[in-house]
This record gives sequence, C-alpha cells and structure tokens, in this order.
Amino acid sequence: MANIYLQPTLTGGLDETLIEVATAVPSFVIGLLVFVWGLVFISGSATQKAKSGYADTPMWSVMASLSTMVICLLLTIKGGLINLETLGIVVAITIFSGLWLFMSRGRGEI
Amino acid sequence: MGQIKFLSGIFMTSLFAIAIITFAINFGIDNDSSVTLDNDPDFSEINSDLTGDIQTFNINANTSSDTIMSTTQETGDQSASSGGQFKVGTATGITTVTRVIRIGFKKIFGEDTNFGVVFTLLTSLLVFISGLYIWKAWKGNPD
Repeated sequence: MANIYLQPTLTGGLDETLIEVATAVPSFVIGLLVFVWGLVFISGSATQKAKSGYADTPMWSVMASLSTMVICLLLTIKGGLINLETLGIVVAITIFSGLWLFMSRGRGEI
Repeated sequence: MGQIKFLSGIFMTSLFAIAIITFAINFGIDNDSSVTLDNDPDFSEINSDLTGDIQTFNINANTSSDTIMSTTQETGDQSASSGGQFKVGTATGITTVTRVIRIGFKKIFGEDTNFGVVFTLLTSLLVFISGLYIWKAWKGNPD
C-alpha cells in the first residue's frame, strides 16, 4: 500500500551528528554531563537558598547526579557516544552523593 | 547524629548503591545498550558483596535481639560484661560503607596511591566514630 505521506526520520541525522562530534571531540559528552550536573546542583541550591534561606546541598548533589546518570544511561544505548569508564565514574559519583546525603542527616531529617 | 542514625545512614547508603548499580545494569540489559555497566566486573562484584553484607546484618541483628530479649541483670549490675549486643551491625556497616567508598575512589581516581590516603582517612574515621558509639551505648558518654 502506497503512503501518501512518508514520515521523515526525525533523529536520523541528529544522532549521527552527535556521534561525529563525540568522535572528533572526545570531551564533548563529558563536558555536557558536567554542565548538566553543575546546572542542577548550583541552580537548585541557589534557588532553595533564595526561597528558604537554607540550601540542602547534599540533596541537590543527589538530584544532580541522578539527572546526569539518566542522561548518561540514555547515551549508552547507541555506541560511540560514551565509554564504560565514563559511565563507571558517573555511577560512582552518584553513589558518593548518596553517601554524602545519608551521612549528613541530623536528627529528625530524612 | 547518634549510633542509630549513623548505622541507618550507612545502611541506607548501601541500599542506595545497590539500587543505583542494579538499575544501571538492568537498563543496559533491557535496552540492549552498546555500553552497559554489566561489562564492568567491579560493579557486579560490589553489588553481590553489599547484598551479602546486608543478609549478614539481618542474621546478626536478629540473633542480637534474641540475646537482648533474654538478658537479665542482677541487682547492682550496671552494664553487660561483654557488650556484644551493642556491637552488632557496626562491623557489618563499616564493611558495607568501606566497599562503597573503595569502588568510588577506584572508579574516580583509579589505583593512584596518592589519593589512597583520603580513602584510608575516611574509613579510619568511620571505624573511630563506630568505636565511640559502641562505648557510648555500652558504658555511657565518652569524654
């Protein structure tokens, strides 16, 4: 059956471009992950401090690490974007953030 | 932060680590990822080790609770002679958090011995704090 309209491949060129950029500039993906982590951590802490006068930095560290890890995991689906060492470091930083969060709690806190 | 909070924090960290590693491994398996954490033997190993530590804590905590339930004190007794029931969980907790810290340092800093002193200090500090907490629960506030 002939289609009167063929849906274009929306990501066909984009992911190839991403892989070409990551191949040409290996630090691109790492820089992107660092940017995401810093964006969530700094903006979250600063906004909370502005609103409540108190910044729960360990919690924002966990939030930033989880955000970064999810993006990192998505990048692992297609080969060429990220390597196993980077994924291991991201997971390790996420676990460290959890250690910081749970060891920083006072009485009555989560 | 008291001993209960301290140990709760340690074991929550262990559960958090297990959850994160399991999620990352299963994400790779489910989506047939080109790069998957399952190919890193260190994470698979620490995952099973942490699970084993928690199962050990489960057995020890139940045994210790039975001991506490059946403990009797004679008139004039001020503390248990061995204090074993106050020590349960601390050793296992330190083991689990040491595993978590070690894998973190190994992945972030590699095997570089220059950073090893940080790992040594962190684990030593945790052991030192644990000792004080056991003493506090057993004999009272340390100076």
